[in-house]
Amino acid sequence: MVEVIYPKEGLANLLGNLIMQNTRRDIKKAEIARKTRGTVVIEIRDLGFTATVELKGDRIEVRNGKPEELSDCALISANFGVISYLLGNNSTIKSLKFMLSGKLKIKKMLLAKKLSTIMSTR
Amino acid sequence: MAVVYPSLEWMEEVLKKVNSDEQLKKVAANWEGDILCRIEVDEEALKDFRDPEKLAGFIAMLSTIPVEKWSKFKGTKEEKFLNRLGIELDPDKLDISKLNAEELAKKVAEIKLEDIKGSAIYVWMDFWHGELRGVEFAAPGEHQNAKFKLFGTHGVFKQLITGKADPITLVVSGKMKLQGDVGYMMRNMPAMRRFMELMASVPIK
Repeated sequence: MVEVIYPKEGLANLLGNLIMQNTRRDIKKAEIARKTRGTVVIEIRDLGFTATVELKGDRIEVRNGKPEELSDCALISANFGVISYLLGNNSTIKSLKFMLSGKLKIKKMLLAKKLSTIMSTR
Repeated sequence: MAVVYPSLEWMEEVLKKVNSDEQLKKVAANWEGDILCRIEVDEEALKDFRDPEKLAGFIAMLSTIPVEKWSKFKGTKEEKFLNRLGIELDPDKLDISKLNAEELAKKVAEIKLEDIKGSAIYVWMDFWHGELRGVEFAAPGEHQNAKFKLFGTHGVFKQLITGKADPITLVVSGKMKLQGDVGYMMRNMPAMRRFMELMASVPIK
């Protein structure tokens, strides 16, 4: 089982809950999580909140805010509507459309894509 | 017409608005799940309940809890709050219809928040396939298996029901807590958004 650690409130609570529920329900998502290592910053532009997801194999830590040093991190940055749409429709084509229109910014696509698959609600 | 919150009139208006909305019927056609709101009594609640009209609204809601469920208040912080108001939920001693809101409102002024900290008002909403089948004032411990639970203070819930803030901003900012199937909620965000818009469209006094 993947251990998910997250605070009791804020964006990190929402995302941590989602990751925990998904990895418990879906063996494939748990397997992807176990094989993934890295840090992803999720930025909700319109609400002005960020959270950091640190994938450490059997353990995932989710925190509110972002680290001071971002160069090693993947980034998913969009308005809440875009993020929630993508979580419900984990579509690469749609993600690209959002990126081309500037509504979605992704850094380190491969790691970000793995996390969005883990968080996908489909 | 503006109504008092919390009150039976407010619950009835929410029911009417929600159940007559065609857009909600479409976006929430697949929604299956009840919501329990735990509304914590805070300074703003105490301030509101100093107004006899608002306190009368709360008492009217309390009166909808069947006598056989009054025992659920025993030993809870909610019982402590009611006791501070001079209300003892004892079927042999209390006739809620005879409570005088004017008199009770004066007692609210003497209550200190630290004395009743942690007490809450529970509102349960039975939401099913685009229809709000019921809104009810619940006793402590009721509907613990609700699909979703929303936690916040009276002040925060007022921001929500007056449309000053949306639930996602409140949850993400940590002012409100959500318990339940987060994935399901995210998939059904348009339904939740429309439901909250309708709730916020009920004018509050």
